[in-house]
Amino acid sequence: MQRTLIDALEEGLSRVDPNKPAILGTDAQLSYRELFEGAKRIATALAEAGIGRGNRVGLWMDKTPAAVQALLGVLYSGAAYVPLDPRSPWPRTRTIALDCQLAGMVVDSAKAGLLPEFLDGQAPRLVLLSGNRAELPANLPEGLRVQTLAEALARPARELPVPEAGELAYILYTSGSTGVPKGVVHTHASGVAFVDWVRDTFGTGPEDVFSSHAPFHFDLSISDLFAALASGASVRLLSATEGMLPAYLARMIEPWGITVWYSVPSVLVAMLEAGLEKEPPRGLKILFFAGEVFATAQLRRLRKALPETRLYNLFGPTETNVCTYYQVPERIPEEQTAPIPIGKGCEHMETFVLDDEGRELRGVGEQGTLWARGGNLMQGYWNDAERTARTLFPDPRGQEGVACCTGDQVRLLPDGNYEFLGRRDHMVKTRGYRVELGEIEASLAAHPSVLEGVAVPLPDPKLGNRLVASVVLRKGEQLDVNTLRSHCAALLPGYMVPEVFELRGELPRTSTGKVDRGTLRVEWQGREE
Amino acid sequence: MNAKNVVSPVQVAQELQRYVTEEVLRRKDGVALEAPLVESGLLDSLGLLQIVAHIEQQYGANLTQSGEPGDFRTISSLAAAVWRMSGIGAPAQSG
Repeated sequence: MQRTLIDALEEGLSRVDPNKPAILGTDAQLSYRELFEGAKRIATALAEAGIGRGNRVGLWMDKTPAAVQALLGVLYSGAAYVPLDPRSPWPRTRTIALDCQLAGMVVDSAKAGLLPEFLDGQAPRLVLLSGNRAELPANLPEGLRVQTLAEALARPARELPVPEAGELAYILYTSGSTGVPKGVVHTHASGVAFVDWVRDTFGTGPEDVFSSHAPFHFDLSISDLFAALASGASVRLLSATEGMLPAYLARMIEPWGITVWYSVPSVLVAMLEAGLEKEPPRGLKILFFAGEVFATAQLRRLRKALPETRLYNLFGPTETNVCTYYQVPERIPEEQTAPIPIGKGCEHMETFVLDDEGRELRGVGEQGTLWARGGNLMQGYWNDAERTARTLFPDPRGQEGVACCTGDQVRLLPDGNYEFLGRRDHMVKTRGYRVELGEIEASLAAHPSVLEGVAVPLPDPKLGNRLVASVVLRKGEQLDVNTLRSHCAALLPGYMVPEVFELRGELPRTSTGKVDRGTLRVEWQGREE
Repeated sequence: MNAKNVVSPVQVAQELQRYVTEEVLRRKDGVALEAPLVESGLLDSLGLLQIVAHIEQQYGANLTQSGEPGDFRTISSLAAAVWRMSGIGAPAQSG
């Protein structure tokens, strides 16, 4: 029988003393026993409300040990978990909840006051509240079943049917082009394929302490949580605030005993700026980075600061978990300015490169689109067969099976590695987040005074991209830039709100009448210098 | 430490409240003194950096080097950290 994430988690549990700390948070921690016993009780509470296999449960929680326990509880119930960003404006989060029709929710009491509006148009069978009943508002929808986590944890667990490998484990929503975030669906099989690969390839075990820098809706969290627990390791959760304090992080890696770090390069660059080189943490064995291009000069600083640490570039869209990886060499030549490669395909995956006509490229120096196939691939996009059909195809080389077009442009290097050239579409990275410019533009255009709005990415060595916006108003309309900013901030998470807005009479066009994004970017860059 | 402009913790809190509301978030309605700043999504990392720079300039307190995550939770906790680091609020040394 094919393995599930539950199998991997229980292998980790079987390798450790159950009293060993599993999840370490800022203010609380859970041992392996507490984590698993609590998760099974939460699963029981969900099952008693009729929630289980085939359902989805939203987690609208800060990064706490309780949230991880709830996440495991959802998996034990047989349902799939959907992490909802607690830092996103709630209407955007509600769009996601409506899209995937949550059968249940686990919610921090800090969000309880929003529930009446948030749940409009939804009918979850159970809301589990992390916190006190007294914090519930009076005007909750009639008949809504609410239980506190404390109540659920006080009751014994029941034996529940285990999910099968082909069933959904989690849905991660990423920025979508039509203004609606899209849900990347992973099954137990695709999740565990990745988790097993991390554990087996990097040899992580009970002696390790993983960091958890990424929020749970970001795919780096899959390794942070599941590869750690499957290894019998401990996980140190970093709150959103902690994650934004690079000097604090640089100082705490060693006292926390972290041996495996995973984050976007921006965070590492900020830590370098904040003094990581002066007192490099000892004991850090493995450092993974992913999500954006690591500027070579900064990576060289990191390499020198951490000579004993194995550094890896993990690469791949959320749709593939990770599909290629590269170990940073012991020394990066001083003269090197080109970014390091994204490496070769993961051992259990197959990667290949096709040109625009669909021909496979094998020659050194040739460039085309990266494709991947194998266990890590998503099942598809939630509720969007059309988009799925534009990403997952029958293997275009005529072989049996499905392959994923990553949309990433790569070049074949003489040593067999891939060099990353950029993304094909308008997807950009800013501060480690993948942002579809279309979603920003859709929110600009949602303002009644706006005629056209274009989000312009300006490459930035530290942030990946800075986002600015050029906006044309309808005739006769007047609009203050601050009003437009507030409008966007109400619709988008902070990292997607453009830093600077310009109001202009018109936009440059290409010969085919499209907005000339290249010219806009050059204009912006000219002004910035 | 070179404490500047620190008169009372209440005054620091009020000044920071005005700064965060008007200069960082550019809102009309004031941010509550006890509102979680980062965890709720009110502030992103750029906003946080802006506040840290302001505190350094206005009060001479360097929160990036000596601050703890708890100092950044709310406007109140930021004000308390500025007050603590100013040294004025500390008990007088005897002898």
